[in-house]
Parts: sequence; structure tokens; C-alpha cells
Amino acid sequence: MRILEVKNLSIQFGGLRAVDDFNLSLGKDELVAIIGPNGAGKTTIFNMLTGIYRPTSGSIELEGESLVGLKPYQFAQRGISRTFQNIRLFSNASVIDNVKMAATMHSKDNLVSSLLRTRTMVKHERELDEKVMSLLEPLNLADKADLLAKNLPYGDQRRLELARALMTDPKILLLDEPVAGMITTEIEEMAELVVRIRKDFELSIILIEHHMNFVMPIADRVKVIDFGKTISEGTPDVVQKDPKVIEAYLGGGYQNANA
Amino acid sequence: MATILQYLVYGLQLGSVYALLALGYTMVYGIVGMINTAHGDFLMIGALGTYFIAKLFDSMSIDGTYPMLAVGCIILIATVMTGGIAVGVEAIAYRPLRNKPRMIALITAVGVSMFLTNFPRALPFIGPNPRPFPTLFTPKTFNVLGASITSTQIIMIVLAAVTMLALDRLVAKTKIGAQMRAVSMDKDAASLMGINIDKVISITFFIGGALAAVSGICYASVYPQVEVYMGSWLGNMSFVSAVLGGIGDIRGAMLGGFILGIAQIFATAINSTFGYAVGFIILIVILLVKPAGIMGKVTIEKV
Amino acid sequence: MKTTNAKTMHPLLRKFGPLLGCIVFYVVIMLLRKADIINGYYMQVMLFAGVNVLMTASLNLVNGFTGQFCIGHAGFMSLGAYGAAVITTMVFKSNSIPEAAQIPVFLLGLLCGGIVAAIVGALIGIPSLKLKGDYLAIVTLAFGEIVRALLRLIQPIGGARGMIGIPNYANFFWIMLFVVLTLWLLRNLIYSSYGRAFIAIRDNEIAADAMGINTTKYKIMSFCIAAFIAGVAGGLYAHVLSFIQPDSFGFVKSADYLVYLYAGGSGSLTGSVVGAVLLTILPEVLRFLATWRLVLYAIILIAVMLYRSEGLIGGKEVPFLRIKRSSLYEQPLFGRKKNGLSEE
Ligand SMILES: Nc1ncnc2c1ncn2[C@@H]1O[C@H](COP(=O)(O)OP(=O)(O)OP(=O)(O)O)[C@@H](O)[C@H]1O
Ligand SMILES: [Mg+2]
Repeated sequence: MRILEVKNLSIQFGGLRAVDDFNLSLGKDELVAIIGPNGAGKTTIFNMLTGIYRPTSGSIELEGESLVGLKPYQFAQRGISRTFQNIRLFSNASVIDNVKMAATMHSKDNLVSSLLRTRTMVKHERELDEKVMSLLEPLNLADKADLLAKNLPYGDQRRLELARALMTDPKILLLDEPVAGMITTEIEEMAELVVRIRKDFELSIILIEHHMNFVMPIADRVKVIDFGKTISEGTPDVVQKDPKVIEAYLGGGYQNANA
Repeated sequence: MATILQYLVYGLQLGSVYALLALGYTMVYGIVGMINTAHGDFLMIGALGTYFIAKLFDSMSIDGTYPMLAVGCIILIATVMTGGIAVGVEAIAYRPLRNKPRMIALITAVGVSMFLTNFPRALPFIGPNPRPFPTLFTPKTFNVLGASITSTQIIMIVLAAVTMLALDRLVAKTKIGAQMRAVSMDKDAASLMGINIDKVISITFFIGGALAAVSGICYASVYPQVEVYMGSWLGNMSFVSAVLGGIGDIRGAMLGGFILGIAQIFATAINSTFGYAVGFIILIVILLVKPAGIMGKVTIEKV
Repeated sequence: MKTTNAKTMHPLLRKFGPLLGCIVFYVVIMLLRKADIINGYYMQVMLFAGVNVLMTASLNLVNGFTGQFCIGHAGFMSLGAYGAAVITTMVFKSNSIPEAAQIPVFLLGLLCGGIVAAIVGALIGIPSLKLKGDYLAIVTLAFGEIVRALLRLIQPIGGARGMIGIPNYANFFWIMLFVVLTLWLLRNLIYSSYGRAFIAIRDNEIAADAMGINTTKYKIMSFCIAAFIAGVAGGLYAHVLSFIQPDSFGFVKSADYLVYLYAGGSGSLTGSVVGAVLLTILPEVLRFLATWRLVLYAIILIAVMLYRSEGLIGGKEVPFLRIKRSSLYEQPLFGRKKNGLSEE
């Protein structure tokens, strides 16, 4: 069964049709990559898939339930989580709190027990703490748990975004340029991490990335967007050889396409 | 009918005071992004300053009226002085906080406002007592459809409208206007383009301060009394006007000022407390319908 | 997993130290009052300082921890003040309340005042919290002024002249009790999933939303809790001063609380306490300057904002108003077998 069905998704900003007729049928445990030149509309697709922008037309169905019109937090509560291209951490909170914040919707404590800080509430906090630490461990963030997020180095911030997204217990994870600005070794680590997460958490993943040598080995399927339109899709091999794709990238002055 | 018309005249008169003051609020907000709660006090400084400058010109007055030239000088000195004080306030108190959270600048503005009210109040030759404002213009009264309208009122209303138009053109057409727009959109980018941000902001504050002085003179000409507290509630009301019209928008400030002035006069006719509150009620109603004010545009934040 | 390290405070001290400190403080103050070292006037200033701590700390919840801009907080205070005063003075005719019933009536009044403020907080919060930043600020300002105008118009509660003859039940004991209780509850709240949700909204509303936090719900919640506390503080204020008037709760008062909050340092309860107490006392200390008092006050305020714009305390917390992660792993104090945490 397909977990996510997106049909004819379009959005208009004034005169600009930023995404035009986007379709996606995502299988369980599948990893689909979306690539395309700058300004193609990739992030905008994510924004629609997480309820931050409301599409002008089209439908989004998660396991048969239509999500269009819901608030972003409802998308998250139904199991779509994401990271942001321009990192959006809770910068004045500690690393561990950043991740705990993403567990807010799973919290079992009500207002009264929180105000009184009852024994059960403390116990829940402790359990949550341990759960978060076990998530931070494989991401190499455990020893930085008490640092403020804004004081982390860039690569750590990206991994923290990942940890935070995982904490919401998603069915589908959307990664927006997870290796942007990283160096080669970090990119390789991140590729391993994504593969591992996908397996351990049994997640479906949609990935936006410009680094072809990051995307191509791990993606099951690639969709290529240019000026809001899907110009090509298929397995990484097929897409890489598609003349339209090469055209779009070279036409846009993008050098990294065949790197 | 005649009474309604008469109220309308009063409304426009009060509205032009609000509008002139709101223009400064809106420009500062649009360009610097801060709510300058001390802006109302510039009005007070303008009016009080005029009072003292007029005192200096006393020897020229005949029967309590001044020759046109003297009036021109008095007004010019008062507006330039107020504009200068506004520039000084910005340079001393606001500029160092430009990159801090906006609430910090707001609190500083509260402090500045407190200073601007209490400093003259503490000075022995000014003090807290209200003073009669000198007659700068001897009004001629006209009768229109049973309502009386004075030349002062006409001057005020026309002055407000002309200033608004001039300011609108200034921002839209001139080089400094283009720089202002650039700074309001993106300070860093503007700075990279070689725009002197400090200068643009100083000019903005100067214009805002000068307009506040003009509006103070207008206000005191029709309600001829000046005191150190007059800036605070006038400031609040014109701030509401600016927001009502869509803060950051020059035409909006004008529109908001007149709407509020007229509404307040009519409401005051019913009950004076209600007259004060009506502005806030209109504000809330309008913001609930149009969250960015009448002329403001709601933008979707790019993510 | 990390356990308590040697440097953290002994759990017993951490748990009961503050309580002990409060009792000692109370006793010392009462002794000084008995000896007349603290005269009635100083006492009154201390009571107002306490009320101001409540107001500032609650404002901090909205502005400092949830990142919203409320600039009409005195509006909630006035609702609480009138709510409580109406209960004690008009419903129960203060001078005919028997001794024994005075305290319950007083507490009932405070509760009602708080509830009225919280309900009104929800009523204005629900439609207006969708407004962003400055516009929300302006609506709260407008709200405060409208409440003031309405109170002026209602004749049975004195109109513009205000209410007099409110019994002065709010003595040092009650003020201190409410301050300590409120700070404790707020601290607990901030270090819970609720507080984390507030802070997440403050730090990045879009990300908070995308992580499944119902931002509107939490914003309203923070707003209502703050309004409730402000209402109770208003009730206490009325029962300290015995006299309230709509015009005492205008924008000037709201601005005072903003000043206390940001001068003390927003996002820190310690900052609220320090800001409110210092700035309540400062004008009294400066009283010898007569008319120059507020001029100097203004200059000090501007200087603080310019040279220490993060506030005097700058986001730090004293240990008792903070909960460290390590304290989660403390052994329970009394008996009870080790709870959950196994070694290694
Ligand atoms: N809120 C908005 N209002 C107006 N235009 C927008 C908005 N959000 C996105 N756009 C426009 O939509 C287009 C697509 O932007 P998007 O961010 O989706 O590109 P992208 O494919 O993610 O590019 P990049 O690789 O640079 O991240 C751009 O032209 C952008 O300016
Ligand atoms: Mg993008």
C-alpha cells in the first residue's frame, strides 16, 4: 500500500506558479529524491506537504486521509516530519531540550501535574530524557546535550534537526538539503546515517539535495523539478541520462550536475 | 444636518493632527521597524517650543498677534528644533540598539518618553502647569451650510493633506525616498549598495519630528493650551491611527488619522469616555478583519 | 547515563532550602517590623514590590518565554482588582464580614478576579493570537485601554472615581505566600512539556508548528495563565491599597511592567524578581530628588537598556528557580526503592 499520494499539487504566489502539477506516490520504506536547479520549487513542495503553505489546488493523502487545509502541527501529528533548508532550531534551548520539544505532542502530563511537578511527571521526564539520549547517541550529539543549540557547529546543527524530526515519530521524513554546506567526509557520514535511519525507523523518506553523489547512491527514485514542473523522473540511472535534465541544469548554469 | 457637518469639521480638524503625527510613527516603523513610543512627546516639544519661541518674538506682536513673517520664523524654528531633537534621540538612544530585539528598543523608547516629559516638567521655568498657547493665526470664520469653519481649520486640513501627498511623492520619486525604501526592505543589502543607513534614518527621524511639531502647533492652535503631558495621549491615538491604516504605509496613516478623528468626535458627542475608547474598538475590529490594517498587505513568510 | 555529579546541590537542600529561606526571611521581616525598623511606609513599598513581582513574572511567561508581545498587561490586573474588590466589598459587604470568614472571602475574591482576567484573556487571545508580533502588541494595548474606558463607564463600581473602602486584607503574609507559590508553579511549568512548548514557539514558531506543537493552543494557554496571575495580583493590589481607580491601570502601568521585565532580563524568573523589586524601590529611594526623580529614573532605565540590553540578570536563573537535568536522576528522598534508573 502507498503511504502518501500527492496529486496535481500546485501553488501560485501572485503571478508566479512556483509548483505546477506535482504528483507523487510514495511507497512504504521508499526513498524518493527531488532535485532541480535553485528556485525550482522544491522547498515549496515540502512546505505544502507539511501544511506551511496551503496549495492552490491538488490533494495530499496520507494513508487515505486528506490533509489539505490542516495546520502544520496536524501534519506533524499525523506523521510527516521535516528538516529545514535554512536551519530552524530552537536556538536558545539546549540540544536535549530541542529534541524534547519535538515530543510535546506525545507528552502524558497534564497542566496540573506539570504545575505541581508530581512524581509521575518527574518519572515521565526521566523516561523522555533517556529516550532522547539514546537518539542523540548515534548522532554523535550525546556529549553535547546540555549545550545551547545556537552554539553548536554547523554540521551538528543539521544532525540536531534530524534528531528533532525523528523525535516526532514520523511515518514520512522530509529532508531539505541535509548536506548543504558540509564537507566531503561529513556528506559520506550523513549518507550512511540516512540509510541507517531509514532502516531502523522503517521510514519513508523524501529528500531534496543538490549533491548528486549524495543522492544517487541512496535514492530509489528521483524526480527532477524545473520552474515548478516535473521534467523527469525514474531511477537514478535513468534520470541522470535524461537529456532534459542535463539541459535544465546546464541551462540554469548549474555545474554540479554530473559531479 | 448642520450639526453633523459641524462635527465632521471638528473630526477632520482632530484627524489632521492625528494624521500628521501618525505619518512620523509610520515612517519610523516602516524604515527602522520600531514602535517609537516617544513620538507623541515630539508633538509636545514642538508645541511647548513654539510657546517659548513666540515669547522671544513678543516685542514684535501687536495686540497679541504676530506679523506673518514672525509667525513663519516661529514655526520654522520650532519644527527644525523638534526635528533636531528627534535626530538626537535616535542617535543617542536608538541607534546602538538597532540590531537588538525590537522589544528592547520599545522599552528604551518608554524611557525616552519618560525623560522627555519629566525633564521639562522638572525645569523650574516650565513645570507641570498648562499654559495658554499664543494666537499665531487670527482665524476668520466662514459659514458653510449652517456649520462654521475657521481659516485655521482649513489651513490644518489642507496642510495635512498636502504634507501627506508631498511625503508620498518624496518616498516614491526622489533619491532619498528610494534609499528609504531600500533601507526599509533590507538594511544589510542597502548598506552593501553603498547607502548610508545612519543618514537615511536620521533624515526619517528629522521629518517625523518636524511633522510632529507641525501637528503640535496645529493642535495647540485650536485647543490653545500646552503642557508637558499633552504628547502621551495624542501619541497613543495617532499610533492607533497609523496601525489602523496599516503601519508603514504613508497613505494609510493619513486615512487612519482622519477615520479616527471623525469617529472620536462623533463618539465624544455621545460620551467623552466612549470617545476615547472608540478608537481602540475600531482598531480591534479592523485588525480582526484586516490583520495588517486597511492599506497593509499580509505577506506569507517565506520558509 | 549521567547521574548526579558531586558538584550539584544536595537534594535535601535543593528541595527544602528555598522553603526554609522563605520562612527565615518572613520571620526576620516580621521582627524588624515589630521593632519598627521597617515602618509602615517601607512595608507598603514591600507589598507593592511583591505585587509587581507577580505582574512581571506573569508578563514574562507571555513575553519572555512564549515570545509574544503583550503590552496591555495592566488591563488584566484591573479586571482582577475590580473582580476581587467587588466580591469582598459589594457581594460580602466588607465591614459586616465576621472575622472567621474574612480570609475565605478574600481568597474567593482573588480567585474570582483571576478567573475573570483569565476568561477575558482567552476571549481576546483566541481571535488575536493569530496576529503576528507587533500587531498582537497593539491589540493588547487597545484591550487595556478599552477595559479602562469600560470601567470608567460602569457607575455601580464607582465609574471614573473608582472604588474605595476595600478591606486591606493583603498583608505581608499573603503577598509573600502568593509570590513564592507563583514562582514555584511557574518554575515547574517552565521545566515541563508546556514550558518547552512555549520556548519552542518563542525561538522558532514555524519549526515549533512543524514539530507538532499546536502553537495557537499553547499561546492561548500562556496568555490565560499570565492573565490569571495578573488578575490575582490585581486583587492583592486592591486589598493593599484599599482604593482602586480605572486610571491607575492605563498604558503607563503596563509600560511599568514591561520596563521591570526587560530591565530585569526577560526569559528568566530571577530577572523578573530582580527587575520588579529594584525598580519598585528605586523611585522611592530617589524621592529626595523631588521633581527630578523621574528624570533620573528615565536616565537609569535608558542606560540599563543601552549598556545591558539583555537585562540586569540577562537570562540567568538562580538555582532555586531552575531545574537541572541531573536532578531528574536523584534518588527519591524518602525510602522507596530506586525508581527506574538502573546503574549502567
Ligand atoms: N512565500 C512566498 N512568496 C512568494 N514567493 C515564494 C514564496 N515561497 C517561495 N516563493 C518562490 O517560489 C519559487 C520556488 O522557491 P523554492 O524555495 O521552493 O525553491 P527551491 O527549489 O527550494 O530552491 P533552492 O534550491 O534555492 O532551495 C522561488 O521563485 C521563490 O521565490
Ligand atoms: Mg529550497
